[in-house]
Amino acid sequence: MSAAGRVFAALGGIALAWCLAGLCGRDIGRMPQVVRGEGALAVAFGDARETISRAFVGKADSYFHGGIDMDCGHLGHHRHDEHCEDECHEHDHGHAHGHDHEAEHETANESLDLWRWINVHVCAPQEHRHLDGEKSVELMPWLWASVKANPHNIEAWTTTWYIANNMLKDKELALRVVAEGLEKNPDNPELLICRGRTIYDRGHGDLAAAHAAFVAAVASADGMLQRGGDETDERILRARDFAQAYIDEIAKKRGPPPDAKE
Amino acid sequence: MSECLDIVQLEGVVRAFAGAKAVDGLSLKLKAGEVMGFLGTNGAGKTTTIKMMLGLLAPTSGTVKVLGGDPSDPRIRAHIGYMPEVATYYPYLNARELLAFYGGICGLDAKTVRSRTDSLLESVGLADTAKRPLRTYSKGMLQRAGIAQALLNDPDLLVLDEPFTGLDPLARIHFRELLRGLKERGKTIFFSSHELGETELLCDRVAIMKKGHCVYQGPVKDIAGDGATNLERLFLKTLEEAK
Amino acid sequence: MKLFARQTCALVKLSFIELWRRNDVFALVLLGLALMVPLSMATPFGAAGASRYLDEMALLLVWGFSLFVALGAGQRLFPPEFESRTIYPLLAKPISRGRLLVGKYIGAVAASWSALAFFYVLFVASVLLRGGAFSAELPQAVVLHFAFVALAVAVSLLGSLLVTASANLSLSAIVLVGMFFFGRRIPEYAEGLNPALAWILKGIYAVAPHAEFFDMRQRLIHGWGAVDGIVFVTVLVYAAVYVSVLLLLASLALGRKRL
Repeated sequence: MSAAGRVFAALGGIALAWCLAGLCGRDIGRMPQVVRGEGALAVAFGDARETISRAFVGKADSYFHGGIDMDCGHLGHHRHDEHCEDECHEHDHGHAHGHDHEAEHETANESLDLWRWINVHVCAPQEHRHLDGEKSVELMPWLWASVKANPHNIEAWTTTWYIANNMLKDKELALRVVAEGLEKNPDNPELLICRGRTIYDRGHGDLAAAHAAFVAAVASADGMLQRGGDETDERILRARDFAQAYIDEIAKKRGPPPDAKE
Repeated sequence: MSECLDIVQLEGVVRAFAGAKAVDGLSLKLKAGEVMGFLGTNGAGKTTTIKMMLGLLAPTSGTVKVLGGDPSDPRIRAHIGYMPEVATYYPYLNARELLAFYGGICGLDAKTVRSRTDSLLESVGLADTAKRPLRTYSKGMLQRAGIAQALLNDPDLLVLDEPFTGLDPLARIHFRELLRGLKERGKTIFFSSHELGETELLCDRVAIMKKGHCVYQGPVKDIAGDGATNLERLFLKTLEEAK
Repeated sequence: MKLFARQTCALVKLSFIELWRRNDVFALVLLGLALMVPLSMATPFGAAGASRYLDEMALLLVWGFSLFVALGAGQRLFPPEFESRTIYPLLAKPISRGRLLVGKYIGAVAASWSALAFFYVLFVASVLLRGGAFSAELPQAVVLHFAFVALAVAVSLLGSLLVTASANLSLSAIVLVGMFFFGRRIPEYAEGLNPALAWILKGIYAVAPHAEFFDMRQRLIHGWGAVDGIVFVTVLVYAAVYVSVLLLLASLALGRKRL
């Protein structure tokens, strides 16, 4: 390579490094916490497992939307933390993202950016779409990979549970997922709530067993809150409230206790 | 080709690399049917001259004409056969495929390539090993494959760079006979060599290069005497005088 | 024209023989099988019936392998000729440097396409074996993938004439893989950066080879249907123009090479 070529290449390299540093700098504040574990995966990947695990959840999310990256964690919104019917969730999301797509197409047309125009048409969908019913089994491998990468990714466990319980309508699978999740994360209130919800089965299930699960969730949440506050406080508080709401609902269904009637 | 035509005509050729002259004012003529030996020490400018004759390098000044035209014109090169000093031919091909490849590059049709391949492999002694990958060939065998590819297009001018390098004594004799046969068929041959004995046995004329200058040109028959010793003496004397 | 056709045929044959006798393709297929067979037997959480992840992984491997083959084929066009000194007898034949470059490029592309076709045959066979169906958009996706391979060979060919083999393969892979995964997001990344950085990123976005244009994997996996005809043709024209520019630059680089 000529001297001029080398100088040009060196300048290009410096510019590229500068760009990458600029891009990475924005993400440093979002570095993951230390992932527990002493297995081979932990040794090989360390904290990267957290990122890998989140990436797999992202992949499952994109599958839910027909392979499109939505960058806003749809599946997270579909989880148990909104006490709402499935149809209601899907309606909300369909509506919200319908606007996103339209905006994307408008931008592509308005800016006359040929590259963007090609990308929008080759890579992006022409309609908003969700996987539903039995087809949602397609999400399972990515979520499985996610919990394998980081068994403490509660979001991945609860999302898997949601798909098994609400989309595939497979109670046995849902309970198996929760059991596996609880094995890795004993007494996790969110997973206990998942178990309770499956057993409760919208009021048609075993109320006593469901009640026991929700009570355990509340007790676990209280214990975690007492042990000290961190950034998971809000999530635990929400889970506690959620479990309590179910306990109250079950109490209503059972009616007043015998001594109260007297 | 007409007998009186200058097959190679170099007039005041200079080739400089970053200011340093590899060839300086070289004038050379090679008539049709002649065999010329091109001698010189390492770095004398032999290979640079050959590259200019093949159109691979353009002269800094002076003119290079081969077969009456500019050797950078592919149509002129269609009549030239060239064998480099050292070449490790495509390791995944066998000798037959190598010749088929070069035949295609020369624009020969498949039938011609096939018939020439058979006779050439026979004449260079590679017929028995023609299906072996070239990566399993020895240096001498690769040299023979190189000779075969140079002869494939039945060239009017054959340019050979150190053709005897790596050949065993038997192969040398065989190759010498092959070149004699070509000479008898009226082919013009130009070869550079350090093998003074072979040069004296084969050539009509020799040119001796030193540091880019041609310090001697003349017919071999003018060197009276008993073979290699005389050419060797002339070579040493010429180089000594050129100091 | 007849001469050029014969020369091109010879160069295509050379590339084919080299690619298939190197056994790279078979090694890649074995690697692919080693990855795909255990994956295809997995039943995550005991829930059977998922198949899109297998298609996704298989297509990712096809893309990765095709890039590997294309970059290797492009890299091997000229540097080995110089190293083994076969460039001299080759250019001493009645072929110009320009024709040699184009002929060699066509040869490398044809050989890489043959490997890609082989990978796709295996992919389709694996889909059919799993009881899947042929997607209607597959031919369009394959054509775009072929165009991508032609582009990758051209990138690697140009690089091979400018830098060393290892530098070329690394840089070409970084550029193409980087664009493949992040190309469409560059304008997003440029937003919020300081103006100088944004300007550099936008420059990269404008001139870098947009490998992502050719990627119809998600359409294929999730059954989104074919790309509009006009978009499809635009992408092919983009590939043709980009390849032409790269070949022009490569021919300038080859012309400046000292023999």
